[in-house]
Amino acid sequence: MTASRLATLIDDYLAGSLAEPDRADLVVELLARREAREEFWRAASTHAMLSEWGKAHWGRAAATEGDAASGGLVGRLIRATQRLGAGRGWAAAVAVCLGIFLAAIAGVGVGRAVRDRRVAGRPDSPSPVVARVTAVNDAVWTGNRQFREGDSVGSGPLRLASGVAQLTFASGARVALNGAVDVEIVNAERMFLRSGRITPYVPPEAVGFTVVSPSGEVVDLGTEFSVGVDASGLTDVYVIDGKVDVAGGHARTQPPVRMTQGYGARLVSPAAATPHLTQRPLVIDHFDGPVAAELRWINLTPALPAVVRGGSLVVPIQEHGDGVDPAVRILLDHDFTPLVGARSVISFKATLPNIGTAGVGRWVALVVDGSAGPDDPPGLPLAARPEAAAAVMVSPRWHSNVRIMGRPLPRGRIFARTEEAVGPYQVVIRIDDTPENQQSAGGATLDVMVNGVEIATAERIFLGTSPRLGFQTFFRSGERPGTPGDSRAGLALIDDFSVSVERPGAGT
Amino acid sequence: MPPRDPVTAVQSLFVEHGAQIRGFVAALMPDPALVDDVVQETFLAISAKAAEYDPARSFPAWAYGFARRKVLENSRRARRGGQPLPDEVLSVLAVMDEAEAELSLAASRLRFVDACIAELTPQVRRIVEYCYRKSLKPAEAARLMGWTPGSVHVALSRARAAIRRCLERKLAAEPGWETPPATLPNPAP
Repeated sequence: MTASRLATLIDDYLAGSLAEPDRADLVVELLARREAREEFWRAASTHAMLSEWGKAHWGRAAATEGDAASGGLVGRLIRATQRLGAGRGWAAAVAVCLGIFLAAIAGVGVGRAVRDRRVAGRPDSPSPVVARVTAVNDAVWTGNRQFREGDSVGSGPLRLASGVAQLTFASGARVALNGAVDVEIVNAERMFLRSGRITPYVPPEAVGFTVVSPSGEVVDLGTEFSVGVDASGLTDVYVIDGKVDVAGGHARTQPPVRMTQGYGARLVSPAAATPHLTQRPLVIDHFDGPVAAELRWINLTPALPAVVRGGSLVVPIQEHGDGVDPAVRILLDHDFTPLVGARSVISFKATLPNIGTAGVGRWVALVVDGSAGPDDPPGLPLAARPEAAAAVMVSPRWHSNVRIMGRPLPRGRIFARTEEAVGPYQVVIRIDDTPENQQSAGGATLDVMVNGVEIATAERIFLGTSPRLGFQTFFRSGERPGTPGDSRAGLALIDDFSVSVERPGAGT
Repeated sequence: MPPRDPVTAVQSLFVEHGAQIRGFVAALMPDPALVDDVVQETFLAISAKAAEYDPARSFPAWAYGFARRKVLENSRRARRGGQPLPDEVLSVLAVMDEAEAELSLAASRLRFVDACIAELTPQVRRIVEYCYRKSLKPAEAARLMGWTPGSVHVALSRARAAIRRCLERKLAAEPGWETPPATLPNPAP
């Protein structure tokens, strides 16, 4: 937006004549650029000063009529105080201060003092603590302050140039920042994402935590989601778990769209009040660990063993003979003992071949989807349902034991998407250290795969022997997904797999 | 002697910074008719929460938080001036250092406004007086002047810019005022 256009919009706003869609433009500009906000205050302060000037003339006229205390602002404050039941003390104090107030309006004494303070520099006024930095990983911040773990964060802008950091808000919300990201902390329940991508996790006590973007807002209803803003202000929202309300624009002219896990939406502009549901994979940056660790796999089907080829794990795919109901099973197995009791992030990128399903080229795995549950919103278009394509499925054996953010995952599925772009996704899983979990995990018969991929650091993940966590990938279109039948082989590549885990207790 | 109990202390500060706080509200509240109400409610709110005020903090910044909430609460009542800015915008505006700095500066310049308005052309001065002294909307001022609303609008915008430049000039001429470094060299005589 040009400077003159911004000035016009601000002037219109101050004049009370700003209407849509100009208002939406101004909102976006003020949210997106600090320079715009500074320009706003330059214009608004002059406007406010002139308003005050007008009031001062009015006040002097009233004083001449001997009515300042009853008709002016101070008089109203005195009456308000009296209504509050504070007694004469307050009223007397205010009345005493009347002289100071009028002096300020007249530009005597106080005005000079204020100006002198301005010259000497702003008095120390730290913002109240809104959040704390509860994890950092190679974080480089833009600005004078390099936040470290444990540092407090107040309201205001925060820019992470690179690396990863986690903020834990006073409300309980935890937000992962993946640099480069530019945010503005508003308060413990609200933040503005100017650009980049963040992944908030909102526990029940912080429900309502809101991420505002230049093109809309996302209200978390107890979940984890990812939201990103690109250079043009276009906002992608992706629900990893739980549900969120997504509203396009800021005028709130339309009710928000409720989205559950596995769904994505795109907010194009504030003018488009309704989010556009999209199947396009929304890349969620994953947290790579710097040190590779061994992953193992077991070939469940001897006829179609998974092998490492060309640096990637090549997974056999079974496809039903009719070519309509392809099924692919890919099961990952890994020792996730160190994840017990901690919130972990697992991400991988898969490239699947085009077999059996028209138009499917590369597939990106990893959307946890618990759809078709009682809480699912009715009327979501079928096209938005990812099972129309393919899926990576959490093994049924684990359904009662794997928990997503502390909740059982009865129908947990990780869906692949058919899309041209391939990028890593995240799955966030809490593994509870329960006897059932141990028992089930220890007996898992899973094929395992992945090659030379990174598994966080030894410092952050300590590999043990049990339990295990399995993933199953399959094509689905029939009633019983993944049912083996007459098949033909295909190949699936999993060429990126990484796991990271928060230290137990961190940020909680 | 300054008052000692917290309530009296914050009320004194409120009155001391009244112009700034009022300016803050006037900037964010699109309906000028409600500005006084919002300022009054802000006053009551800070009185009720006086014990929470930390004197080490900037008082205006603390008061702006209350004022912002009151602006939001009252914005639904606004009948004039169009829709207010949404919460998230008010929130980010309210936490800006710039707000306090600009409003402090504006408050300190009030005494020069008369002189600067006197420098305006008679017609523009009338418009400023209509809009700011008589609280007329630009459209109403336009009718009285026989101008189009757009012309009034442009004139107001230019008047604000001219007044701002004038104020900076006058403030810079005050002894003791630290003028910012010039961004451009002075032209040769």
